[in-house]
Amino acid sequence: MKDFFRLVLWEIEENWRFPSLEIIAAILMYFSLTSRSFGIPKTYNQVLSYSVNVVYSFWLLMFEVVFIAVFFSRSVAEQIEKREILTLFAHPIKRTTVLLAKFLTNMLVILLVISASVIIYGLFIGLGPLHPVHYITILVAFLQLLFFSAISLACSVFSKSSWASIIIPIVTLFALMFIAPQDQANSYISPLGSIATVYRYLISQLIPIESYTFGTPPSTATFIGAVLFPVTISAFLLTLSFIYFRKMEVD
Amino acid sequence: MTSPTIATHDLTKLFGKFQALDRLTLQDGGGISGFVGPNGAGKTTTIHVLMGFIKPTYGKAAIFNLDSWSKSAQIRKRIGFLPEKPAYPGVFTAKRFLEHIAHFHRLQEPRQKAKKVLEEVGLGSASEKQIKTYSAGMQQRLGLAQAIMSNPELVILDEPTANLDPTGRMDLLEKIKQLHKDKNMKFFISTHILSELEKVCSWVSIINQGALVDQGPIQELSEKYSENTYKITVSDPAKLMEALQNQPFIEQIRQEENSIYVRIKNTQAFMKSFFKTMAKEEIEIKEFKQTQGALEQIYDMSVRRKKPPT
Repeated sequence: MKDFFRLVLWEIEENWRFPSLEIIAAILMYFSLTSRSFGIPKTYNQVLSYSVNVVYSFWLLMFEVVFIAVFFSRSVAEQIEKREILTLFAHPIKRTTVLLAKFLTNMLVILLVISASVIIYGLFIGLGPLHPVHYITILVAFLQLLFFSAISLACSVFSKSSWASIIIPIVTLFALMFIAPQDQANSYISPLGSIATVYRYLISQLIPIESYTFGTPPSTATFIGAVLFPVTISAFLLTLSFIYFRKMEVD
Repeated sequence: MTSPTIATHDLTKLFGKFQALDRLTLQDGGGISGFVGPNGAGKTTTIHVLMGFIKPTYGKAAIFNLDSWSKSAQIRKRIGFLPEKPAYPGVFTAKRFLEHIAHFHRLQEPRQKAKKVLEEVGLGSASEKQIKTYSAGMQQRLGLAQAIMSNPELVILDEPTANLDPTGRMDLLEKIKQLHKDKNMKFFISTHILSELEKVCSWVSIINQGALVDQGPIQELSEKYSENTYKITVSDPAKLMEALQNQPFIEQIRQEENSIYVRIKNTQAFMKSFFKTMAKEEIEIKEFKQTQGALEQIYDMSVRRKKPPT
């Protein structure tokens, strides 16, 4: 455990000392949210419907995936490519601890960036800072983040190439959207669809809302399916990545 | 000789169709050992196998009698390693970097330890500077600092003098000697610069094209390879070179300032012909003696032969 926290500190100090990339990410994500807004919402339902931008914004998803890919490429693939990882491998630290620290640190930093954008956007459209919509949105964003972080980590570990590990997750995003172009909002396979299903279900359970805003809420079975899809794929990819990284040859 | 710390047996490594190591069986001398060979001979691959970075295709590699691949975690607690091309996090200061390393080794008072080891390697005044501002030589010193800071039993250095100026090289070798003497640290030093190694090593393993050429205590190898080599200092070395150049009993001949080094195949034929030639050409002999081969000569002869002499 000591090594894990030390490695998290190492990762933060190494990659986040001057977080220019993260500030750019936060600004882009914020503007991707506000781009769909038109004027200041007047009614409560309008407020909530604007908050849907968070889950239906393609650009937010796009920026999210790009930055996830860039961060994992920098932190994992580039270090393997340039043999910087040998600095850690030469000392008595478990390889799985190294990878876990890299994975969680990068994922949580991006989650923080997304959360900051979402909350600032929510405040802008008139939701209070403690409104449940924020936390539902962040939870949903976490699922999406887990899914694409797992893809990015797997790409970084298996390709050992900084470019491939940026390009493959972006191509995956488009491929998933191409596979399920119809009725994206109800599709598990579509990143937007999966996230929207989870969002609509949680909103319908926690916040009283008129039906026209989101249509008919999804059933519990649909909701479980939408959660299990990213979680299962992520668990599978993470397991593969950790097993491979543990016995990976670096020369 | 003390028991070997490092041992490989029939170690083979293939990268696709390329054979980097070819049934390499070597050991260290238990003190300060040199591991020499030309560029591309397989030195770094051997070291990476020993460190557990890559898995052997065939054969065994062990440190402290522990398998390098499956027991790598146990081995890393007891060794230090300086890679051929050190790459450290550039945004860290050297002190901060070493503090982290000290924590990984569970060292007491990591800050003080980091400060002390940086002073030991001559980086005391640059300890608060970011690593990315360091010269290649400074990075090499930092590499040595992180390798020795946990007082390991064995330190593996891959081309440690590669980026150092002559003074830096001398300092490093002195440091190695001192650490061995004071703390009984063992060293396994890979290099292709032999003149320096000779000053500190008691054992040398020579590798070429992934296979062991020869190994043993330097003194023994020196005697073995100098058996038929003579140093001749004369009044006119160029004339003597010309006279001896194409003689059938000469295996190798080279000139160094006023001296000529000849390695001969047939001692009797050489003695008979040599003195006749000297008299005929009217060359004055100033010195004539059998040599104790320098490491450079041993290396040159053994690598040229490729196979270990029987």
